[in-house]
Amino acid sequence: MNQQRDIDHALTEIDENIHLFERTLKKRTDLPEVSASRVLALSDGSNQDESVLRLAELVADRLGAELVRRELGPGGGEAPLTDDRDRLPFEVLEQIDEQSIGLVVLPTPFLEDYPSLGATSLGVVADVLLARSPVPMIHVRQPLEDPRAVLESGVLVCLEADPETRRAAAWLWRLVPGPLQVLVALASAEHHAILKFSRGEEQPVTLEDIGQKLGEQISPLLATMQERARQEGRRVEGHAYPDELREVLVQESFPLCLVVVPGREDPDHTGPLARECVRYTRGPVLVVP
Amino acid sequence: MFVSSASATPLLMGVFALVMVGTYVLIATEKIHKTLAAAAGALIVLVLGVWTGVFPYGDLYQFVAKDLNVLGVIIGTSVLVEVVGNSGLFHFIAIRIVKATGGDPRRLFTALVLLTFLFVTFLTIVPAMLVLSSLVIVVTRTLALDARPYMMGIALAANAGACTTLASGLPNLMIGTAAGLGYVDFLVATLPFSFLALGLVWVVVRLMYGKALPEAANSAEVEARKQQVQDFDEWALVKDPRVFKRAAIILGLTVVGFMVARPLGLGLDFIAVAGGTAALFLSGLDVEKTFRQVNWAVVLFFVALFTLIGAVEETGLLEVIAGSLETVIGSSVQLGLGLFCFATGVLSGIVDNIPVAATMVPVVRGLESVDSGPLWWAVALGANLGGSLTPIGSIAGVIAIHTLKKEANQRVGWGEFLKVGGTLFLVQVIAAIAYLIVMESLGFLPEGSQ
Repeated sequence: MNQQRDIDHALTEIDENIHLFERTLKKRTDLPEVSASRVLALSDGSNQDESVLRLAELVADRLGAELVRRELGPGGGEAPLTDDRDRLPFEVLEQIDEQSIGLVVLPTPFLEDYPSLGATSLGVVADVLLARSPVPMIHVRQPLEDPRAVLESGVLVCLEADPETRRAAAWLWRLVPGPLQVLVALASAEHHAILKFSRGEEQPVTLEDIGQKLGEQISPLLATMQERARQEGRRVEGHAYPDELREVLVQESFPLCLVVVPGREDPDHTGPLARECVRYTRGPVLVVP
Repeated sequence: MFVSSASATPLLMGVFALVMVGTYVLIATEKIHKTLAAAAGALIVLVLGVWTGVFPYGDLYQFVAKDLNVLGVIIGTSVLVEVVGNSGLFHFIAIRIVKATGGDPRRLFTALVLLTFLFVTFLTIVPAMLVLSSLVIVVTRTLALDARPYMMGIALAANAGACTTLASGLPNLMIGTAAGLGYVDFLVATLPFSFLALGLVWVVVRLMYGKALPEAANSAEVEARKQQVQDFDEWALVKDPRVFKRAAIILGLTVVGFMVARPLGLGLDFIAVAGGTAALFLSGLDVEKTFRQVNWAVVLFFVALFTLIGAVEETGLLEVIAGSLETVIGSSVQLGLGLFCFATGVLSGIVDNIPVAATMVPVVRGLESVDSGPLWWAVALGANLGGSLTPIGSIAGVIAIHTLKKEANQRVGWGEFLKVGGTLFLVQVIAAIAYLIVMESLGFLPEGSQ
């Protein structure tokens, strides 16, 4: 029947309307419970050590956790891998496992302090822990004048509302009592979509489509955070950045606060996002695996 | 070969009748697109009429000019509905109403049929059904309810809503134009019956699908459903609050404009085009893109249909049919009301109600020994109620059935539809005839100016 085309046209419009109505449905995305009974503070003799310790004390206090300290020795994590030092990060991983460490605070000096390390490495310990740590880690990038002030506000950098992102949001909520921002990294999302497409997982999409898709994915999480914020008299804002994430993070106007980012071992996924955040953020960065 | 006489012979009338019936069969069976079928029929009768000297070619423009306002209303309201729809207003109202039901299945059913009635009254059937059938799918999925009673309810309520005003449906517009009836005349004559027809929809569908409209088992379920509908955010689709407010104001003014058009000496087409233009002007939407959303196939269908009917009318065939009907009904208006309402209803259940109404217009106009005034109302109600008779009787039923099949994997066959819709049609038509007879005897039915 020729009028089947009219019906098909109507059904297509109905499909679009169904999609619109579904978008109006606030999906509930509760934040998971997060806790740590022990916080491990690593020191390596660098000028971040004092900030690491003060920040770790504050974090342990907010979590009601015991503080555990470990000396990595002078030059600690930043020295190149040698036969003598290649066991260091693995010993830390063993300690995390054996002592039920729930969170690690470590010095990860800012790149400009160690230009000889090259553009990709964050240092021996940071590199290995970033890829393998089963627990969240706060990378302290530079000495902090007032660690308490840094923990007064926070930014969640994310791509999608996956379980890692929800855990990251929960950690941010737990550690930072002040105003929060959710920063959706669109440029990285485009990269992510292209990677997925190259693996045959989905059709190519435009940046606008990705923005909408991300908005739909992130909005339930944002809505949950905002609802909780209203109940607790806090403030949560959501922002989408279509620029390169690096350009956003290095801006002088970017707040010196706790930046939280989800991280996974999958190098095609949020791994690069976490690494990029640690590399370019001047403030402390909490990576949540 | 030219025939010098302007009056058509019975043979010629028979040929014109064959072309008209053939066109209607093609429209009803959907063998080819209805616009194409009407255009083919129009071209044939035009050539026949000119060659046989029944009418000169120039009369073609008179055939279309008589109902030119219909085209203006279609184009103007299409643009207006597109702009207002884009503002998120319809979705906003729909979600607000659903939230007000607290997710209770029975209250939800009542709210949806009422909402459909309201939307059809002001938007006509197609845009209303596109929004509400989608809403039914999403809400029933969310609340894990059977979608059939809701979808059947809104489809049948749409046909009841189409009776309400001069602008609720295209048959009303054609009848109103031919009879010289205004927007307020329709409100006086058909609004009370529309509510009655809606009440009958509510009763019949609830009786037929009672088990599919369960009561909540306990207070926990009530709370859960309430929470589920509260999760809908009515503001989520409002892109620009300023455009949203402007759209609401323009829609409201357009409805008021429809009511006061006649006293102001204006036509509904003027109000519709003014509303559409204002909406487009103040919304900032892409003009070309918006105009592409107008259903130009329907506009052309009307042009072809008016040509076909106008040409057939020139042969005197429709007067002959009117004369035959007069011999049946004599001078009894009551019998005329019953016959016209029932026949128009049944025919509209089989063929698209637009060609049925377009054909009935010259027939009613051709009646001489009976007061045709009340009969316009019988045709109007019959043409709209007939849509409930079969699954193909109205676009509302067609959309409902196909949406159920595609989106809910539920099939409503001819048997089930005839059981629900057929029963409803019979009850509604009987009620309509009784209503019209009472209104006519009380002298409450407005008379047209033509």
